[in-house]
Amino acid sequence: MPSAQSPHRCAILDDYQNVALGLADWGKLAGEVEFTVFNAPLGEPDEIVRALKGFDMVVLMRERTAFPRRVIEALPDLRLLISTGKRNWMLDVEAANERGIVACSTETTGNPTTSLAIGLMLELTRRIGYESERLKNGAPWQSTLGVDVEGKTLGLIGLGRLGSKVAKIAQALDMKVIAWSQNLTAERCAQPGVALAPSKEALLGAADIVSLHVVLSPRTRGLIGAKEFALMKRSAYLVNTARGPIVDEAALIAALRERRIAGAGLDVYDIEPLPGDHPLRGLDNVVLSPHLGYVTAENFRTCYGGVVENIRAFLDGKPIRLLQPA
Amino acid sequence: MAKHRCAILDDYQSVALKMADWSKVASDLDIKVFSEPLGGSDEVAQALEGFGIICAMRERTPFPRQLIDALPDLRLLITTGMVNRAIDLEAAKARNVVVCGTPSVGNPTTGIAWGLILELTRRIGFEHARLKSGALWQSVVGTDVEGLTLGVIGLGKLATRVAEVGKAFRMKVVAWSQNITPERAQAAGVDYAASIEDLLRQSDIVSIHIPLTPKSRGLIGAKEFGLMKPSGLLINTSRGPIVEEAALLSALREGKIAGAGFDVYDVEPLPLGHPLRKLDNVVLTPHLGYASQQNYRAYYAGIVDDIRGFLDGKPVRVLTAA
Repeated sequence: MPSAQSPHRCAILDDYQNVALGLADWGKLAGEVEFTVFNAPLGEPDEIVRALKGFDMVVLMRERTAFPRRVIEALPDLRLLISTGKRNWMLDVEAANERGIVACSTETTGNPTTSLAIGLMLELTRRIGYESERLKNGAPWQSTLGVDVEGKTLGLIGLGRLGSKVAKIAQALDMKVIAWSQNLTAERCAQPGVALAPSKEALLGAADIVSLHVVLSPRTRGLIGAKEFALMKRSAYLVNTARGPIVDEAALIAALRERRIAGAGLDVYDIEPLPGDHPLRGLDNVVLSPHLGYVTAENFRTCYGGVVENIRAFLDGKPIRLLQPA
Repeated sequence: MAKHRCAILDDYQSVALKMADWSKVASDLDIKVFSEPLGGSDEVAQALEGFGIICAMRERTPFPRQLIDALPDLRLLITTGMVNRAIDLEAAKARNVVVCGTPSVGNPTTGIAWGLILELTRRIGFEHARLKSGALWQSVVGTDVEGLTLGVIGLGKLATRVAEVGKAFRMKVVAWSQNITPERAQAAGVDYAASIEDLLRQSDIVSIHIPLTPKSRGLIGAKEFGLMKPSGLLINTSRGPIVEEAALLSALREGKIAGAGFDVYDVEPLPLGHPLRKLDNVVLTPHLGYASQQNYRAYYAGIVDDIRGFLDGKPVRVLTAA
């Protein structure tokens, strides 16, 4: 443990945009904590352990860097582990607690994933960013004849907080909205005015756009695979802003290559950052964003503001926002 | 009997003949499709010499009196949609040219207005292009529209829809135009801005949804940009000349506003050397507002019906000067 003279050493991971220190009042901890910011992914578990040796505090940005038992147990100096956001399926809270490491979360602001899901739908159907890039690169004029989402059917898998918000926006765009998930009831659909699809299969067959809004769990892993793609319309689009492994990536790539669906808009992947040579990067019927769902200035302010509060509380011996083991 | 010569203009995506069943009229017509803009009015007159039927796509090629007078063989002029401010209906009437419109479907401009807003705030297309060209991962921190104020200029069908989407995103929505009353704003469920200045000052995103008229030409100029927030965004999916282009360029260059999303321009197609194409705080689309498959099917099916009606001596959807 650092003495009063030697400050705590805190590593802030995965600050890709180099904004962490500008988005919160870290001055409150000056003199007590010394910060090191990492702007690039640290890599494999061995490299993570090597880079973080000697730090007693580590701040994770969402699920960018996995913290399994193996990494936690290889960092004997670690005392405080903070993950931004309310949950983190890549962090083994149980392993942390066994070693006496305090694991905390932060609040989040708004529902920024909502606009990313709608943005992916509009980019797939109207190609705004694509046409803008073309115009800026010297193309004379139009190339796209888009599909209007008005009158089309949006199939939501999951109707929690984000799913319900996406439903409202789709309704304002005059789309018909249907929903399904393993435990969704007609009563829960009534308030947002959404029709409950009798089954996943029925939803996939009826939807022009399928958007995923369930958490990753053993039950949802691989929820959309080859069989599911075969049920979708050939003109349909899949949008995934939830978690990569909910979709079987190999089956997705096959469906896109064989044009069994019209396209996919993806913000999440099995491996993030998406490897440079990943086959998804080579397809012409995808819109790919680099896991931007939660990446807004407003949300980051809340996240890093929470990190400062968490560290303060920890230093004062009254840790807050403790993460519960899964 | 000789076939009627029919010109289909500005079919940039080469879809006109696929979007409708032309068999009802095909045997009566000798059709020529133009997939590129024809150019200035002399070039248009030259290219269209001898055609009895001309099918225009929206306002891509204007038909002022001078052009109509220069096309003595013209008998039927069809525009897609039921309003076309670029056709001189008086001049057509004077030359006995029948002008017809077509149905349209939906409100596809709503999707473009919102797509421009989301591209400016979340940069999905921009980040996509980066990933495709080998960038490793994220570069932008976006802005969430939730909680921001959307100012709509106009409160017609499109403005109302754009406002509805804004409300579903939990934005505050204010509206102003020369003829909105507090009562109309209230009925639409939006706040009323007492003046354009008031709207510009309080909005984070301003979206224009009024027609181009002498009153709305140049509505947004240097003075108006000066009133907007430095973080403000301007969206124009209506008509180019409502915004003074020179003032827009300075506002963008000098950071008087944070960015602009435009689908319409003073000159369309946007000239290749146009300075807007060089700015990094703009998202530009090539007038895609009305370009949806559903709309094009309605347009071209309408064109076929218009031609059939005209050939049978019973023209339909005839447009006359107000």
